[in-house]
Order: sequence, then C-alpha cells, then structure tokens
Amino acid sequence: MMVLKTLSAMGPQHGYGIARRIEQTSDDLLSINEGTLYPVLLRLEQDGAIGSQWGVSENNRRAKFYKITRIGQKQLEAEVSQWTQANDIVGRFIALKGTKA
Amino acid sequence: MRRGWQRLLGALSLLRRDADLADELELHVQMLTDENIRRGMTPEEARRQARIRFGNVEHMKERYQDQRRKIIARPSAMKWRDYARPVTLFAERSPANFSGWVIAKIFRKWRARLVSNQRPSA
Repeated sequence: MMVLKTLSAMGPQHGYGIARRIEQTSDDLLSINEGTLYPVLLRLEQDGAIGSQWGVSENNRRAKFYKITRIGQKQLEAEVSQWTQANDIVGRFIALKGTKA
Repeated sequence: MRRGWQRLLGALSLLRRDADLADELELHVQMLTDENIRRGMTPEEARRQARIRFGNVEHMKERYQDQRRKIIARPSAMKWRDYARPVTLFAERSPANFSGWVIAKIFRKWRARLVSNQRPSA
C-alpha cells in the first residue's frame, strides 16, 4: 500500500526514490529493506498495479521509473479503505474506558 | 528449428532482464553512495556503507528470480500481453496469412495450456 500511495502522490519514481520517500514520510521511523523492495515492485507490475518505463535519473544514469496504473489506483483505494476501517476499530478500543463496579 | 529459435529468444530475453535488473540495482547503490557522500563520507567509505545498507545483492537477485518464477507459474493480466506481442509482430509482417479468427484460435490454445499448467498458489 505504501508503494502504491507513494507513486500515486509523487508520480513516476525509480526504486530508490520510492524507498527514500517512504522513509521520509515516516520521519525515518520506517527503514525500507531494499532486498524486498524490488521483488515487491515486480509483483505489483505483474499484477498490473504499476507500469514501468526506462528513463534517465537525476544523476544521468539509466533508471526504471514506475508509475501507478488505473488497476493500481483501484487497489490502493480498496486498501486505504480497509486500513481506515481497521484504524477506526482499534481507535474505539483504545478509547474504551473501564467501568468500575 | 522453431524450438531452437524460441530457446534462443528466451535466453536473450532472460539475459536482457538480468541486465535490466543489474542496472536497477546499481543505480540504487549509486544513489545511496551519493547520499553518503553528501553526508560527508569519502567516496570509498560511502560506497562501502551503501553496499552494506543495500544488503546482499546476490541474495536479492535470488529473491527477485523466485518472485518471477512464482509469477510465471500463474496466469495474470500482464502475461496475456507478453504472449500477444510475438503473435502481433508476426501478423504485422505477414498480414495476408493471418485473420482475426486464426489469432483468436491461437489465444484460446495458449489460454487452455496456461490453465492446465497452473500450479496451486502457496
């Protein structure tokens, strides 16, 4: 979900850009494991959630840029809805106050 | 003869994908290196720290290959496009020999083969 949301918010990005943006958004509380990032990007691409195109990076190197597709947008909307609902349920429990007998 | 060409094209495609992956990973390591240099490290130390942070590249490539094998084992929307490309190219080169009916028949055969080869997901 974080990869899809990052691409939806930032537009096309390469793998390094996606990882850095996720870390920045979390104020460095999240550290992306680069070893899992590229298999995840491959799976998302094969599922049709993201597309890719080769281009040139900021430091003039050949880079693969990923962008979210319409399928990915729909998947993102569904996942955000699920997370929001789960967050709301947990929030209710956190707000629960005990009644003393 | 046809199988030989198919194997050759498959091998070349695999080599290209491996080269593409290597380019992606190298760019990532290089950008980590640049970030470390901006933080004040020497280029050698920056590169070393970048490689440590990135992790074992060979292990990551294996995970990538594993993911690709899992994907090949199951049909998906993207796979139809991969199979459509060689048929479309051949049809463009010899349009007189192909009709929409023939192309549709080929797709139906491939689809049946993929469904019969589908492995149960983990």
